[in-house]
Amino acid sequence: MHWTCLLPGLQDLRVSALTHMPTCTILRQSALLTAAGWTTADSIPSPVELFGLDRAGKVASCSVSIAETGGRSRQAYVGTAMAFGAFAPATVLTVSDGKPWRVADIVGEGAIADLAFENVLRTFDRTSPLPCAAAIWDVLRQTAARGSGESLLLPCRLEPTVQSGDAPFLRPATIAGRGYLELIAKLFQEAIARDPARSYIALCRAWLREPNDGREEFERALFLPALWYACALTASDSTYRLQYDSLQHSSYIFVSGGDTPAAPVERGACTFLTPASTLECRLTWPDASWSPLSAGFILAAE
Amino acid sequence: MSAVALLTTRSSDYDVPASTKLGGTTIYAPDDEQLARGLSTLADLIERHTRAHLTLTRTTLNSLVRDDTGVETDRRIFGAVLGWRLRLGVLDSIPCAATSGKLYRVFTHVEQYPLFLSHLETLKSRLHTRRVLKVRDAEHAVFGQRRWGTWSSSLHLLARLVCTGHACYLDSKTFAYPL
Repeated sequence: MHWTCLLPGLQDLRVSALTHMPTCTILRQSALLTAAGWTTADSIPSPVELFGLDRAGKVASCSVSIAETGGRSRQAYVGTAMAFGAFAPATVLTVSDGKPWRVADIVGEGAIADLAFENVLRTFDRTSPLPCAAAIWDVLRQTAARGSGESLLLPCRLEPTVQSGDAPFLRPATIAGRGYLELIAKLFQEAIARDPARSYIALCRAWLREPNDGREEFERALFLPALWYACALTASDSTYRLQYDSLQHSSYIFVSGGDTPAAPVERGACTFLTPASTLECRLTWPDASWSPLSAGFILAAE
Repeated sequence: MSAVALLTTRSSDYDVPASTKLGGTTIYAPDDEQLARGLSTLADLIERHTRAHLTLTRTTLNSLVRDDTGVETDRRIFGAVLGWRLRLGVLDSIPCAATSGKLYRVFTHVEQYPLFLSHLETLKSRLHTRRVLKVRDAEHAVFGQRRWGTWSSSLHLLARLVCTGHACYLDSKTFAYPL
């Protein structure tokens, strides 16, 4: 017999304690920071140790439960020069002056350029800049034109450019006059294990480089690979800056290096809702002085 | 005179103008009422035309709106109002590949979006099976009967598949499965 049947009073107490815990709503696709790096909420078991900020603004971990709410909501995106993430309209972000803002209100009021956000992408010594090769593979498989366990064929808008010897796990291919990049699983796994940041940077540059503008162009659906790319650049002491189509909408995340790298506190550069709807998740954690991070943004309890 | 015609991006056009900022563009009108009326007229027309078609390019959408208002809307004002509807998720912008390899974007209304995704899957599967598909065959496959705009939307669907690596151009009206 289950213990809750014997101790219904204690069950009530547990429920009561849970209802008073801080919670927030995100999407299944929202990115959360684990020791293995940024990953989507739907690919993490619950409860999980997530990284966030404590009351002093220092990076700290906390045990967080993740549960689907059963509800669906439109996908909303928020971007700065440093970070870009997918959120539910009900998600509450903490802006740089410490005030909470619902994403729906930021979008609705068109207030993005008036708000600044503190972004935390990496914890340096406590989390990996990139997840393991298998996790990267799973995400890239969704965008591949063709895939198997051994290789993925990634579509390139332009002819892929692979420096010889730089990335043995990549093979440029031209099929019916259009460019693809073949990613070889075994070699990619070895390269990521050996030098994750350098290998991942080589992949993104060969795959998504727009040489005329000197930047990598990630379609919006590839926001997680873009986030990993930003982390990989930071891990290899390179600077970057994210740019978008406009303040009000973007189909792409443009990642460029350059003279004006993104700062930890940056003004909002883009926010919008999309027609796509997706399942919501609820995060619940026990420490009210701690705040989870999502795609580099600081979440606030609802 | 249409309220849309009173919208401007120059504050000097009016003595004491009403204004609002959409994205990075400040739009002026003689007073608050005219401003609100001009913006809502443009927004309503953008929504009405995008709702009526699977996809539209900006040029076509602009042309349809111009036919209704009878005035040529300032490019920046049209872009700002279009951006406003994109921001609120009423529309989405979808990248497509031109024959030159350059990207262009088409707009789809939130009510057309599920159909767009469904038609995309239909054509992906059909192209995989048949290996070569002309725009008019794609049009017949997803729209059945031909109507205004269906040929262009079929082209946009196939051009989207080029972007995702599931199609390539044989010529400007014929596509092949490349893999």
